[in-house]
Amino acid sequence: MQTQPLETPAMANPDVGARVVSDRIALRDMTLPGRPYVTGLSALAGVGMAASGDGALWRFDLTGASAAPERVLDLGAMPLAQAAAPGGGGVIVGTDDGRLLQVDAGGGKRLLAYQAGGWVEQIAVHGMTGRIACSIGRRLLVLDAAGAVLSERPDHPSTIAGVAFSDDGGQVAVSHYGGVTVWPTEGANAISERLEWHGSHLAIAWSPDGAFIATAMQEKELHAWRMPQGKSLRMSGYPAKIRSLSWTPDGRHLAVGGADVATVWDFGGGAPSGKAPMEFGYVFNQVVTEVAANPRSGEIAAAYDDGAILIGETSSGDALIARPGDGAPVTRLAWTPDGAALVAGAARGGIAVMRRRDATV
Amino acid sequence: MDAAEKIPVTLITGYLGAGKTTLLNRILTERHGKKYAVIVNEFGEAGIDNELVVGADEEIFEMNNGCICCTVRGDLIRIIGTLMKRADGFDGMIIETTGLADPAPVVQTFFVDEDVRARVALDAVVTVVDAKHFLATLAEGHEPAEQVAFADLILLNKTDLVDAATLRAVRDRIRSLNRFARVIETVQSGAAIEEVLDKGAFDLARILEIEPGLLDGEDDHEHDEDIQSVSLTTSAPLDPQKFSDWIRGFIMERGVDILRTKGILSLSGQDSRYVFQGVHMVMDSAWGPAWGAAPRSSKLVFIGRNLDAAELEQAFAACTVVQ
Repeated sequence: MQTQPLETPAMANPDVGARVVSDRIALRDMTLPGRPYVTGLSALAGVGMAASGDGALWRFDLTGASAAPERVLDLGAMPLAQAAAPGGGGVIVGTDDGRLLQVDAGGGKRLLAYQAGGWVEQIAVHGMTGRIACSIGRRLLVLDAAGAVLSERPDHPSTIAGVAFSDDGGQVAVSHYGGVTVWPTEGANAISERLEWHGSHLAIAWSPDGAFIATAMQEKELHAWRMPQGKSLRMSGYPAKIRSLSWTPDGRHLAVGGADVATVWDFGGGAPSGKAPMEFGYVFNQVVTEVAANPRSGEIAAAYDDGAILIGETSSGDALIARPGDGAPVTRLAWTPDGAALVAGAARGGIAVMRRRDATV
Repeated sequence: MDAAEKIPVTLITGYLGAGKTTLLNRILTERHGKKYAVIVNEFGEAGIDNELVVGADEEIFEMNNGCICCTVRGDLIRIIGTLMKRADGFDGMIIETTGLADPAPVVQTFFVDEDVRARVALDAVVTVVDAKHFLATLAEGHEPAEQVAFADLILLNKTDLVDAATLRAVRDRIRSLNRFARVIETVQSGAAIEEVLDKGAFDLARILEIEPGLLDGEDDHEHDEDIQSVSLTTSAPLDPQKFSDWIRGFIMERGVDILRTKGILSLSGQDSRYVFQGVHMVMDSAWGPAWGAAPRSSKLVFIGRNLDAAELEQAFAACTVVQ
């Protein structure tokens, strides 16, 4: 395993307490009252919104003001999925009582879809078109930015585990047992494409250039298909359960979290096979729980099960410490749309905002 | 997180109408100070008196993890993951399967996922048997026999609906399928709740002894049973390498036929007991308490199909240290 040098020499000390935040990062740590599990997190422009295991939705400032998080809504149900809403003024949330809701930063809510007894577990929003896709059990629902139903696909081989849009928003891919199904987002009688690979496919991520669909599997494997041909790519097994996938904005690199390092696969040239992945962020037996690629730069953030967060640079492999960690696993990680700030949520109510001190954006 | 902090999961299985839901509701009512998350088949949600009832789709997939192949309930992994994020904690989880369910995927699920393993622990498989219909259901398919074979505890229910001869016949059949489970005769699933919960049947730290089921004399009935229990014992120490090579090969080759395995072993050169248990090819093992002054012996039990007791005895004996 190739370890990359970390910026601060203190990293050589395995003691959690010895870690020091890089002086290039301004870190603000907050805690949600009651310390609930952060189940959803979205970084909008100037404001962040989080959902928690006690059924609440929160907003918190991202402009640098030091105000505490504010509870904006009690959902009366468990929030299962969340994504930034089209237009960026709020979030789309899925609950365990069958609701798909649009909630603005002030807590105003609108019901977009409802299925009694269902769990709305996966949501994806396509930035440019504003299309919203959600899964309820085996059923896939696609709405336009205004909330009108574009298509409904009622059946798949198992409960849908992940949802991702194509680069142009014209297709949506869902993961399940046995592989992935790709649907056009519109058209009642449209024909789907089935990408097959034996096993249980969980997280799914479609590269921003549309060239690859990647999935994380229960079997501790990564799988990928080259699109639009749907050609299966061989990928090696992974040492641990894969927890997170994130493509860099140029579609060239796929960051993977789950082992004790963040692994970055190079898909340039059409396939990752034959190339050793880059690894960074070895923090002495701490598992990477979340990875998130900066939407504007080559940076990749990696967050750990002890709450530590590193920001790595794909070109050099250097990493700096954005958050030292407090023992609670990071559960959600998101960059603001301008790439200037990184936001994290954790298992015991922690919310962290990390901003580059020299940010010109 | 050690075993003591994990949330215990009780699996209730049994044929349709045997009395599973009655048992479940009794647990929920009697342990009213405790909070349970109940997971049932989505169509079985009605009639359960509990705040937190989740309808699951019983979605099974076949997982190939290296040379281990096993069936897993992917829906349970997802549901348990979500339940763990809830702010209102709970003291235990009860999973009730549908009447025709194979217990193996449910049990195996608790061993194959690291997040599940970290937070919850399977406590026991409890099978409810309908004394009146059990013998007839055995002819209909393999599930009733398997549900009994997998059990740690069997509630032989509806004893008020059968005569003594039938009850004895059902009991004998149960014994021939699973000699190691505790059997409690009940009316309306009325076993004491302390007998049903907190058994630690899969807790390696609590497998201190393997008790053979109490028999009223030798079981000399001829049963056309394809599932049987085989028990192997020896007081000679086992050669760790020979045993390891044999058991690994045996489980890999015959895993499909082996429903459950349990062992407490005395290994040559080791002061501690070696404890393990498994379902099909999925094995879990650990060092147990030191033998100390206690007499050392090894005991290994299999419940499964196509088990040749003589062949197994010979293979097991061949693993002992040559004196």
